[in-house]
Amino acid sequence: MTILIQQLITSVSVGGLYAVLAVGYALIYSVFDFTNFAFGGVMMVSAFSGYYISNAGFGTIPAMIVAILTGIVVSIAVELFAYRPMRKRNAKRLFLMISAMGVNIFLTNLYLSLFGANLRTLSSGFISNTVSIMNVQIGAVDIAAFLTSVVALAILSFFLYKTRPGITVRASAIDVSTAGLMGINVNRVSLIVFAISGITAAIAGMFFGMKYTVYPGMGAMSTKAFIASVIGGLGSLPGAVLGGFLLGILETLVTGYISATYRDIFSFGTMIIILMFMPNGLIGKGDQSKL
Amino acid sequence: MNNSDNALKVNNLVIRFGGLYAIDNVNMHINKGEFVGLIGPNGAGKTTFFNSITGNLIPTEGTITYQGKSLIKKSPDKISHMGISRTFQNIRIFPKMTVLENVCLPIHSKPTYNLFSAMLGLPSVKNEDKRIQEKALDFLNRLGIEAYKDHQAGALSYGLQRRLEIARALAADLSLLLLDEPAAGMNNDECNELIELLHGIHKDFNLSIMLIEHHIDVVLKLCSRIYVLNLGKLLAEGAPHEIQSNPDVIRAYLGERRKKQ
Amino acid sequence: MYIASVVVTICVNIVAVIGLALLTGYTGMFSLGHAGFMCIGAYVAVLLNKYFIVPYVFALILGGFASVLVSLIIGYPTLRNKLRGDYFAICMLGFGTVVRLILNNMNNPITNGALGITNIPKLTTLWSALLFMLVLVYFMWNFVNSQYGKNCVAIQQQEVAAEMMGVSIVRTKLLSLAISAFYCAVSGGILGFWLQYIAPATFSDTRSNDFLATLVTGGINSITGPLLASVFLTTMLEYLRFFANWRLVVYGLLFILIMRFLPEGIMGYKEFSLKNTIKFFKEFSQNKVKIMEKWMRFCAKLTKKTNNKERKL
Repeated sequence: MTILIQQLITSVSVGGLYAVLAVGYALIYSVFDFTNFAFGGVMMVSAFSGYYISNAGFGTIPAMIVAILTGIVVSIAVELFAYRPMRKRNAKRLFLMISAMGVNIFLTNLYLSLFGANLRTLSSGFISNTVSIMNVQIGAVDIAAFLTSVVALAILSFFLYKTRPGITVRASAIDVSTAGLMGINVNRVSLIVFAISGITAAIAGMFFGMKYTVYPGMGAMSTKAFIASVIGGLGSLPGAVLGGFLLGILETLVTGYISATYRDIFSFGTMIIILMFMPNGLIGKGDQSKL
Repeated sequence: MNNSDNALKVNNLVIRFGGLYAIDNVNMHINKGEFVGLIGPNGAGKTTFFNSITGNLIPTEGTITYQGKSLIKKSPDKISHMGISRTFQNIRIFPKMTVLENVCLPIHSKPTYNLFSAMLGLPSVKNEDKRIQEKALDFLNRLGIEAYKDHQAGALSYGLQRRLEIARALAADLSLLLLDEPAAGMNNDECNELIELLHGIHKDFNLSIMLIEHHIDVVLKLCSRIYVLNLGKLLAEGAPHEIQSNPDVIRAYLGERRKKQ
Repeated sequence: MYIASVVVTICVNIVAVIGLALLTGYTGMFSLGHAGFMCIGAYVAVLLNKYFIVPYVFALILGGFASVLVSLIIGYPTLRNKLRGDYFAICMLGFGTVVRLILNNMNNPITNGALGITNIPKLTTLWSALLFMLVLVYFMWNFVNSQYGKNCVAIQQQEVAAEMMGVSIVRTKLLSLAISAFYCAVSGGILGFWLQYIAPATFSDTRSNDFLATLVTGGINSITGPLLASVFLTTMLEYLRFFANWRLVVYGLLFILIMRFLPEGIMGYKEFSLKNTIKFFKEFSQNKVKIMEKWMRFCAKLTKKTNNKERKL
């Protein structure tokens, strides 16, 4: 029973982080119609900034804030330098994807060469304790991760559905060119979207850093975000959230009852199976070609 | 009217996107060898109609049959092999291939030799490719663009690209040709050239043709029968002179004088 | 002996990159997981030879078929129903990792998990590697110039029109995928029988990134482009050790810059031939002034762009 509760908490905490990550990715995908492969790199760079701040003794909250700021700055910089110029020339999606991958490879290997591949422990500061609920030991990090994810998703949802900038983002998610024709400043929307993406990457990066470790290769975690989004339905934000939580639960169950090493294999396999039977994911909408 | 005369038969077609009826209960047919026009104001659903015939769109309700066989849920390439070919409203030629290669493509979209022969580079493969190129050259000649055969298609002028689209559509082994606004952007002289060209093609290749056009004189001169679509509904059907004098059609295009209350 | 090693490595890389060129350069499908096919090809070939005494060439070919089978199984769900290329790209990304993961955790005396297989006979010779490379490149050259190749290119340039003209999108994409998987698998096998040792780590993501870099520099829709780029980059890698460590950083930057300014690569849509080279130098000497002007305008544009950015923010 104890184990079950611990599993439950772990799965929703990991699921929440995956959900946040998946939403950050899905947002860019639904507005700009391409996969931002640089997402993992942004997550890693944010986590590193947080790590250095935390290591310098400034505490967890400042570290988190710095990480988020780093995420925003790097994400927007990537958009301005790599993607926007290409979009202006109507570049093919293949080229955008290669460019995104280039950013990812650049960031990952830059940090690898500069800082080495060592795993770094990100201290979780004031949330390192275990909390006792109903006689079950639960890591405070897990609870904090879950709560932060839920709050972040709630804030994002409020922003998208109840504020004016949010509406411009949603309009662009449906069709960018029409939104532009309707008077929406697409350049501003792109900054907002990439900033949000950077924030989600930073949050997830920090918590994964605290739960596991911080190292230059941790950007590979973003593949989970992609998989979660595919499972939920590419292009759908609720789908991304659903996919994230499902992936978290699936992974925890596999780790707990089968083996930790098979975790990623199961995630990948689940994605393939879902694609076989539900090509548009669980919630995704069909894509009628626009002629 | 017996069935063998009907090449294309569309019955009770409904295409719905959420709450929007792009096509609302439309019935159309094209007899073998007919030259039929499809006109209507912008947004009437004409291109959507074409897309449903060619398999790019799955209708919400209704049936579409060609020579007795249903087209619904078939993939566009299979429909193409049934003998239906089309041009596009926004030109979709292959920009980085040469003009000749563009026209060769429909001929070999289903490869005419096997994979291993291809990779081995057998002489039979080279001969077959030459044969196809000569066939394609015929179509280029027909459309008057054989001088550009080695030019990159994307570098051609707009008018030439339009002709290339038609040449390419013809090169497929077709019996029904769907033309989506082939005269777009043309002046009067060019329109007349096009009318002659299409008239010739209709006769020489023994095709059934459906034409979407905004240049009314092109439609009136070429088509024996015209359908008028407005807001997804069939507004009128008839011979050119009937359509010209139909008050509903005129109202749809020109609008109505607002009655003073 | 050392030079032989470099040449064999170049041959291995060329075969793999040419396979990837078909998939990405000609058909326009993005994959970062082809090192996974190399891995499968190498393991199957080596194991067949070691335990079933399958002769060298057959082992390589069977390794190729094994990869083809896997590619079809995981490729089909992401390619049918006209799913966006992103599905395929994400799937391939995961695939490379999963293959390594599975092999790393198969701790039996045959595959040895992460420790890999040692004592592989040196069945690859300098000449056999060169021969394989030339034959396979020749086959690919014929393929891309044949009807099959043109169909692939049509899909990359105008998928909707290609389908409407009768090209079966799913079948053509699967064919591209299968052939690219075959080529990578064979190159993996050749490598395995040369290094005499393979492990999951031999086929890491770095390899996939190297291939992509070669393809991007060499150019899309070209065979000789990636081929020459492969020779160039592999040689650089061997002789500039410092470059080896920082190369991925450079590659990353290279991707961004090439995609932004010359997305079709240095030899995109062009093939290397004596005629072309002569034409290139003739044009160059005739247009020296024009080219210099173009270059200066380009630099000016770069600096102006930065100024614009500052103003907008």
